Amino acid sequence: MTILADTAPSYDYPIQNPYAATVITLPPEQKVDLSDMPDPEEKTLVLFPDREIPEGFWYEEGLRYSQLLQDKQAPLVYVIAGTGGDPRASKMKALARMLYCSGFHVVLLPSPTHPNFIINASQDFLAGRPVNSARDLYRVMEKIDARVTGEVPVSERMLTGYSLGAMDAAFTARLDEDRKKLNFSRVLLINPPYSLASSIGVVDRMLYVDLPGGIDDADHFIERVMARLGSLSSSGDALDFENERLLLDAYEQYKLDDASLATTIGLSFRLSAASMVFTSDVMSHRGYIYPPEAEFTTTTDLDTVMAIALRTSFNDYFREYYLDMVRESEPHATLDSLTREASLAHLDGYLRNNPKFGLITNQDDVILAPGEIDKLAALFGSNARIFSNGGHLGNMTHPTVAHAIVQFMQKGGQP
Amino acid sequence: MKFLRHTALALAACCLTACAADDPYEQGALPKRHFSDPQQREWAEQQFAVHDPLEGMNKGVYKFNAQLDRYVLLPIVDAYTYVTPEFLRTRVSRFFENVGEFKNFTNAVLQGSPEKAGTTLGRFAVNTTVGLLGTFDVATDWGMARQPEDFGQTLGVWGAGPGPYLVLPFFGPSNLRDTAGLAVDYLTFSWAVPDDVEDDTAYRVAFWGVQPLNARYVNKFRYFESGTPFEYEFVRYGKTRMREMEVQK
Repeated sequence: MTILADTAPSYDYPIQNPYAATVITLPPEQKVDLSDMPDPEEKTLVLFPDREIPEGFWYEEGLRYSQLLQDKQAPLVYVIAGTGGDPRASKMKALARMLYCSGFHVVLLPSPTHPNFIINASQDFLAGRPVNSARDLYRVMEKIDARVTGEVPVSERMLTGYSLGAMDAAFTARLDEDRKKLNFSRVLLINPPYSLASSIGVVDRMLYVDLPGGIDDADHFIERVMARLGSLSSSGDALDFENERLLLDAYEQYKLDDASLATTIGLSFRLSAASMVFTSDVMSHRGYIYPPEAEFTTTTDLDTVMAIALRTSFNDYFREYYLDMVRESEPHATLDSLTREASLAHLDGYLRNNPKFGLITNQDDVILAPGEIDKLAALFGSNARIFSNGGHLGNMTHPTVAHAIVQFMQKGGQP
Repeated sequence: MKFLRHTALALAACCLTACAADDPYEQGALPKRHFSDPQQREWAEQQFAVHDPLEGMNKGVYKFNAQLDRYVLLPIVDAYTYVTPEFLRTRVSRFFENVGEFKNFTNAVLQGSPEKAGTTLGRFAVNTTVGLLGTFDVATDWGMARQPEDFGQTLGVWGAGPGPYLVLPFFGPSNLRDTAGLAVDYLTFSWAVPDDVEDDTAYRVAFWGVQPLNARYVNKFRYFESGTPFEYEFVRYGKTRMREMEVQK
């Protein structure tokens, strides 16, 4: 198993374009081979048994997390998904398998921005505020920890996450210093944003690169991309989703240019935002995009609400919803103070040169604003490992990166 | 006659009221973000729009299918996956794909496409013989790609629009045209199969037991794993666009 090799394999990540790297990730044959590792086991956790959940969410029966446990004592790693992600995401499964095959117990958690988390694990339905997310995540982890230790001995606890999940990991680790229940010994941040607000701005602008009219043109954009992908398929199938190389082929044959790749990333974030805002609003009955007195059931017509939700950016959400909600308990909060708070700079005193922390990211990560990569490098000092290319998480399953992830969890120091 | 017409009208009226989805904007105060201009609302709704007059009923059936999946179909698929090796499951899938060449061939002919019909016939000949009764897809390796065609597509090729969106129990997302196509493909096939074969127990087990099981096994879709409360809307949009492309292909 290459992951367990003592010497790191050389870094030969092939895609130089950061947008392409983000969307395509890796050609299947270059991914670290985890095919003989088991699938994580899915579990459900009910945190608020008295909570009323609208019938429209009838399929929500508790927080969905996954686990892969060794059959003997081992360190336990909690993994937090990125924006809109859950334990079924392929990146989550890959992380679980690479850690499991290196001797760790692994627990996979959905992002606090995922509807399943908002409905079942969020105290106040306010998604996206790192300090609140950390409190919710900590409650979840304490409950899961009790379950896991009832099954198998745990020697110590570690924490990791990617993208927004990495920022959540940093805030959760900070909270752990006060609560002292889990006592994380190592925390690894994989491709984190530096400042949530600036990353949101960057990603939101990407939507418009190939879509000047915004969501109003999304229909045509999707048709265009699907038609181009369809033209590649030699078989009679319109689109061959089984073909793992579909996107790579499309890129190599110039069917997907930079602009459409950037817009694809922006669009996927916007869909996550729409789902998050809708879920939060329906659960809190605050009447931001969903009529506050309306019931939400299986047969509710969502066409108009979806049209509104898709036209609501993360930015709109922060200005028009999040700020109001925070102000109810903290009347002096401003957009500025909340922006500063949702950033790794806010934890500077805690993170800087803290040997517990490691950072893995890429020089060309597309969610970072200019200059932020240098701030991250300075913050994590000798415990930062910055790869020359890979975009946003495109290289996470490359053998060199996988090796770095596992090495940090096993030994600490520079990943 | 009069009685029949009245009953039909009453049923239709009842269906329309029960079938239309509930409009949340008719329930109390408006939310902070809304379309104040009705024209803007109409225009925005054109995005990802699919003609779906029976949305309320369709959403009910969508939920029914999700529950059927969870409590009946997926447990059976899991058991099947558990007791059989992957090699065998793949052979079963290939076998039914090969049987499906009958449908692909008849529809390629009906679409007036000698190219697709020729490829399909060649595939059937190669896979049935060299491919051991279709359990191995040798033809694809020999450069003859599968040409999935069905009567819904044939109707589309000859100019029939999709009609209203329909979610069928068990079969899932469809539309009026493709539902008619499904029925025609089924009838054509059972017309082609001799009666004494159709009455055979092995045939019945294969086509009413193993075939639907294989169909669910090969379909990787799982309800409510998309992570969006707008799953019904996106599935509806995606399915409709895919069918458009398949008709054009």
